[in-house]
Amino acid sequence: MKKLFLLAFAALLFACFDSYDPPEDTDDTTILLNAKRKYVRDSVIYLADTVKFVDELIQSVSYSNDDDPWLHYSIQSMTSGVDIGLWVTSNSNGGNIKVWCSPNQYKEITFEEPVFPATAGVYKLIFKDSLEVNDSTYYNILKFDATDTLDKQCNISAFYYGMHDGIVKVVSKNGVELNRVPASVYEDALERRAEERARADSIAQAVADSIARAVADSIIQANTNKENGSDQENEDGDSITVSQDVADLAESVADCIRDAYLSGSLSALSDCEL
Amino acid sequence: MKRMYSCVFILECTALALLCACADIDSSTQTYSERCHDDAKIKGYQADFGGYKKGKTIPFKHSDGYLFSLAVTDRNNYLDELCQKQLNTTLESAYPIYSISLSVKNPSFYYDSDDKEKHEIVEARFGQYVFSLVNPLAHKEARIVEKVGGKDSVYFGPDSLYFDEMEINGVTYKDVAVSYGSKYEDRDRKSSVESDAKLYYQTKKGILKIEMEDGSHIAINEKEDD
Repeated sequence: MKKLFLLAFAALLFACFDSYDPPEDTDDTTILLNAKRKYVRDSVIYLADTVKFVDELIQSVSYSNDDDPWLHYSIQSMTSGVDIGLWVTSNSNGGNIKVWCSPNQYKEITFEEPVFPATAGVYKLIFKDSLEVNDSTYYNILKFDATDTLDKQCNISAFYYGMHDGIVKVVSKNGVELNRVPASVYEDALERRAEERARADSIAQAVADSIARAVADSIIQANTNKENGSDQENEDGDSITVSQDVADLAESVADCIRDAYLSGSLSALSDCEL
Repeated sequence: MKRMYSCVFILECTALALLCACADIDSSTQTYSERCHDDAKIKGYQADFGGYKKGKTIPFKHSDGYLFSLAVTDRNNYLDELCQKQLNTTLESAYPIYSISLSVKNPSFYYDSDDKEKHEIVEARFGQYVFSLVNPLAHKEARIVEKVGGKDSVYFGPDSLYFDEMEINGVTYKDVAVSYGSKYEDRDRKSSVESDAKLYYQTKKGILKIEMEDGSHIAINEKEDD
């Protein structure tokens, strides 16, 4: 009886261990971890649409190649809401890929033991051999797809992560594509904006000067006296004298109006009174 | 014996009276959690800022010509586990892809009026930039007023933090303040530096305009087309 009991116990133990199948690192996870990266740990990239918008983003990566290799990649825009993270781990408990995105950076989307195409609920990870972006071809692309979801976890519908290059494309929720562009595109945009601003400022300055001058002239006109023997003459040949006080007042009011106009303050305009 | 009992009784009463008198002092040593109360509601400038309600949309225009709307996608007022009142608001647009977070974090009690005043801030995060939005009225009261020609004249110049009026996309806004942003230098947002980014705002409409360091800006666009 005792032997039978021990035999049953041993059989039970064997069954339990035999059915235990520890998760393994998938080959797809390994591809991500082993990909040779062209970008340095912290670098700046640029994304642009087909019209005028150009975005400057900072991408950073850290990784380990020890027995349990891992990769942390993140990219954040300086001004827009693009904020994406990718975390690939491989350890004795199995590999997984975690994705997070703005505005829910602290709520990860986890793909356990991913085999591409992988799914996590409504989210997908799809592998592409290559992708044409503008005039460049990028290889070994991982596409994160959040298109088929009404979930508001991400403020984008997709991103394309190049295993050698980092993010190469982002797609907004309404389908607008932001593609990787060289730094020169961003620099051109800075130059264009500076020129537009200078043009707008000069127009505003010219209008302000014109208004100020018109007010100054009207003040002088209203305060001039006719005297004989002076330098200036009116159309009837009589002399016109402008006293220094009137000239100073006109200039002061003109300056006040010019400053108020350029600052866009209507109440300051009303303070420029005689 | 009777006299002794009377003395003891008087002594006990005196001790009790002293104890009651010192009770106020004892109450001032209440712990933080004892002083915490469960009213999470944030009031005043911080609650009124922008009049943002979930589902509201505000029209904006990018300097590169894009017309878009910022939608209030989240508005949450609660008391956290540290007994702090929190009011978090999120404004988002589909394209350009913007996510602006506004956060208010106040203790549920203040030690004095100065302590209260320094907490009356709305923090705005826009990309890698963060702005501290002080009540515009505080800037108004801090302006330098000088006598010019016998009359009070308000000094304002390039460094002014307050404008009586400002026109933005054809609409005039009153009591406008400006905040200069700090810029995070790393992903963990542990260190920040000064930046040239500026955020113009008022209590009623909230964020009016954000000028970015790349020369672009987004601005509220409320003027109706003719």
